[in-house]
Amino acid sequence: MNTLQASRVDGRSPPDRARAIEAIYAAGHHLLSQERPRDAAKVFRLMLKVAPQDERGWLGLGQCHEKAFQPHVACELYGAGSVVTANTGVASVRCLLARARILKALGRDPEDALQVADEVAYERDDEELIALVSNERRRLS
Amino acid sequence: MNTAATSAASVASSSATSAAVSTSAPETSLMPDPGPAIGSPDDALSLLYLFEDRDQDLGVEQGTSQVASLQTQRNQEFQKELQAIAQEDEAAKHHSFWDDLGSFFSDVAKVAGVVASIAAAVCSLGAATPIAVVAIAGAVLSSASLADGEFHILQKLGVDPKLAGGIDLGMSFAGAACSMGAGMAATGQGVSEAAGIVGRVGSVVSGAATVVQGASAIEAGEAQADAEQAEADQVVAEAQSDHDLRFMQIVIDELQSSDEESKQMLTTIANSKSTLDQTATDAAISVRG
Repeated sequence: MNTLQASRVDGRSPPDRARAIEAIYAAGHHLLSQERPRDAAKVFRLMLKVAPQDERGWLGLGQCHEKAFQPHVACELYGAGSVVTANTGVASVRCLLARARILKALGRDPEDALQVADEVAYERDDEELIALVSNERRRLS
Repeated sequence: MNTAATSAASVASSSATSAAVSTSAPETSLMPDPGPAIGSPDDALSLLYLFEDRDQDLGVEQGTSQVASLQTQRNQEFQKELQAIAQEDEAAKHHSFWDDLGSFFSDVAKVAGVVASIAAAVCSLGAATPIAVVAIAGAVLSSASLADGEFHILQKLGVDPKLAGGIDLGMSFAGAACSMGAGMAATGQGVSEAAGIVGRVGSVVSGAATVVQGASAIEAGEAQADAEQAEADQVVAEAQSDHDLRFMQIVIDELQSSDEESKQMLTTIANSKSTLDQTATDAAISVRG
């Protein structure tokens, strides 16, 4: 089901649909903060189907699998999130950083992921993301 | 895209793998906070009712059953494919990765009744449909692995269980999709900035994946340059093709079932909200007398 189809499923106007996506994310975020990753995963899986190019769904679902001690699955989800969002011309710096963290935790080199995240953050001229990448690089080095 | 402050420290503080990283700075959550408009307790709670409802079967068990059934079916198909490969002549050993994809998509179309163009679009990641397919693939990977364990799903994706815990084969859609996306960009079909980003991201995501590296090498034409290398690449391509076939079949299967599931979930969300609104109205009337 693509985004357009999803909007037709619930028959909502775009503003309502955007609000529904926010609600879904809020629910998933809340469940995750309550240490209920399996329940949260259900929510974030729905979010992937309704808004596949929203980085937050991939980040949230990846977090669920990290909490479930499934780093390889989380790593793949962050990778897929990077690609799907990159297809719009706005790669997900956060997904790249999340993947870098996992790679480091798995004993692998996160440098390539950090490098691309750095480039994308500068291309977007987003100070928050630039700082985020810089901080992450220091942390993982 | 939400760029809200990343202050949800509680979300990240118990990250299972973060503890393995020796760092001096604290790890902050990469997940943005929910938007303020929807972050009120009323809205969040109304949605949470949905997930407390035990009658809501989100299809995990069904999905697991489907995967198991699919695996049996795919094993049979795989055996046939192996026989066909064994009967190929010497020239067939030097087919390129993309040649193999052609037969792979044809097979998918026969088995699942899905047009090859849709499957081919997955490679380009160029339109809404393949993006949705990748999203559903992510959902499938998530639900199956939570239901069946990470290593089990790796095995179902064709990763040797002895290797599953030790290496990252780029075992699923991310590695394959990225390699394909990068390949499309490299061949000049996407010279735009967006395609460039896809290529660079793809190279990172698939960078450490042995199988995908092999496939990328074939894309680059090294197979034609070196006969010996081509034979080695063919082995890799066959493994990749089989791997993709298994996973693509899972995705296609999920595509057929997820639509109804999502409809049900969205309807329930709407109903939950209506119930909450009605409850609030009733309470107000009651208070007023």
